[in-house]
Amino acid sequence: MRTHKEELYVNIRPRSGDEASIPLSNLSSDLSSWNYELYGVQLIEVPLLVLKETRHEFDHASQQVEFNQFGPLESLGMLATTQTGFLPKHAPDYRFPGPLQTITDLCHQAGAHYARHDEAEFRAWLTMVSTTFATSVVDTDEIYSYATKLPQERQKMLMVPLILMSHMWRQGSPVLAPATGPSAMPKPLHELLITLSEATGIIPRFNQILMTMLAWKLDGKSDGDLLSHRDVTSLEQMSPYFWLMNQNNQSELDLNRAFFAMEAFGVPIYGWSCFALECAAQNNLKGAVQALKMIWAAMKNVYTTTKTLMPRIDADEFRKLQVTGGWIEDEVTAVASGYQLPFMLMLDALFQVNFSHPGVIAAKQNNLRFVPQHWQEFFHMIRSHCPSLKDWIQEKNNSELTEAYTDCVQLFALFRSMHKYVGGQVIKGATTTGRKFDSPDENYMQFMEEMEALVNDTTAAADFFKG
Amino acid sequence: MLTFKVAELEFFVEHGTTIQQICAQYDTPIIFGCRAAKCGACIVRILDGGKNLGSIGTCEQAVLDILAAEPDHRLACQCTVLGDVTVEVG
Repeated sequence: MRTHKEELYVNIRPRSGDEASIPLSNLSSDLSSWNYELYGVQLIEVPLLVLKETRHEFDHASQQVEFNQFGPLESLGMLATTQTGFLPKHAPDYRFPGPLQTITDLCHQAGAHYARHDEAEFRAWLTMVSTTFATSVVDTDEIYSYATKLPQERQKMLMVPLILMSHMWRQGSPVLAPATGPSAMPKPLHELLITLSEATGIIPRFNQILMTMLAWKLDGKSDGDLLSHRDVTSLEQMSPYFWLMNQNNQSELDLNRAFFAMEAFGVPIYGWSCFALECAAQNNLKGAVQALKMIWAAMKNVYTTTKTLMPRIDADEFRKLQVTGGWIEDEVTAVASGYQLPFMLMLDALFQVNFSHPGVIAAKQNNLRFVPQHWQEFFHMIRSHCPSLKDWIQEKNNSELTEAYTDCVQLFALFRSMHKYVGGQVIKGATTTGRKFDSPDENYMQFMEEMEALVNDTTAAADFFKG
Repeated sequence: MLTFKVAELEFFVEHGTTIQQICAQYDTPIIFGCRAAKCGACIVRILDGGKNLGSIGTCEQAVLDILAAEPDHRLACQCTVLGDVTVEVG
């Protein structure tokens, strides 16, 4: 497997807006003085390994890449950026040409109508505006023509408001029981969504990639603006976007913010994880220890921000989201599940966490359907990297290296434990968390059981070193 | 009566009252998860009166170690007020 031979650089203080990069060999592992505060809690400014900015917009359906040929760091550079990781390099841009702009505008309005909790009023309104939209163009083929000419990345973006409206249409009101059975938005919105789904290969349902990766907005940043790491970790700059607003425009925002925090603060993990694997391949103990310390620091930030933000989520608004996005036809979809987030996929792959609970295995499999194929292939390469980090560290039998690895795994397990208990308080009372249950108690018990198994499976990733 | 302070809030409590009991009765910024030293959600920094919170058990110490917590941190779920104490959310 190819590894990186050239000297690597590190962006040392990405939160401070200091863009200066230094050679990795000059970086100290001491992070103790690089603290800053967000939401009243201390966070660590974690240096970013500089990736070659070669991010590709892959053709979802047809383009094959053998990531094994490129090695971890170079492969990562194809998919992620130094500053934003797997999050978009630019602020999500929902401005579209010609009549397509109306889709975005309709979705904004739909969110407000949907929040009135009046199924009949909402559907009547969407039917009326869909008809107006269809008659505003010479013929509906004009709409499809605009849509099919968009680059694939823009087509995916256009799917976001359409998917949100599709779920709202289906559910009618977020306070009703989850709707099941087939349902399609009025023409031409439904046809447009299906056309785009076929063109991109993306399942036209609500998912985490849509919610966390694409449906957000930062104050002070216009659609399409280039983003820095400082931007994406400035969570206080997030503003409500698109849908499920309550009267204060806050609940959906806090839910979005909590998930977004994991990705934003997880960004340093990608570069350092790939570097750790390359250190294993090159037998570089010092480098691997440094990489693991950086991964630990980034995970600590993820732990702290998630712990702080999760209790701010309004449980009722969370349930409305689950009810609204959780079902389509008679099949469950993913909704607010972290199993799709690159941050989570990276850590599971790096530490080779093996899942034991059938419910977890099934949920993860279901969620992976929404993760872009190239991301999945990349994380598969990380998981199957030879030598694995764990095997190499065991072979080295070096106490500092072993301790750095174990510290990371233990913190990852503690993160999942915290998520289990704090997140469990949010889902109490819901009858659906990506699956439908007869009672809230049944849902809660299943969640707690699966999360406990996940904590144990994560802890077991470091059992290797016991005794 | 003893004094327990957190984030500008001041409570007068009996000797032996747990922080969990105080937070169950009043709204405080301390976040609880497992309430059993398994998740670390309730970590607080002791600003004053650390010795008035009882000793640190093995499970609590293990979680504090995983979080690389400074010596002035405790898990609120494991603390009993034995004298005047001031904390902030950690």
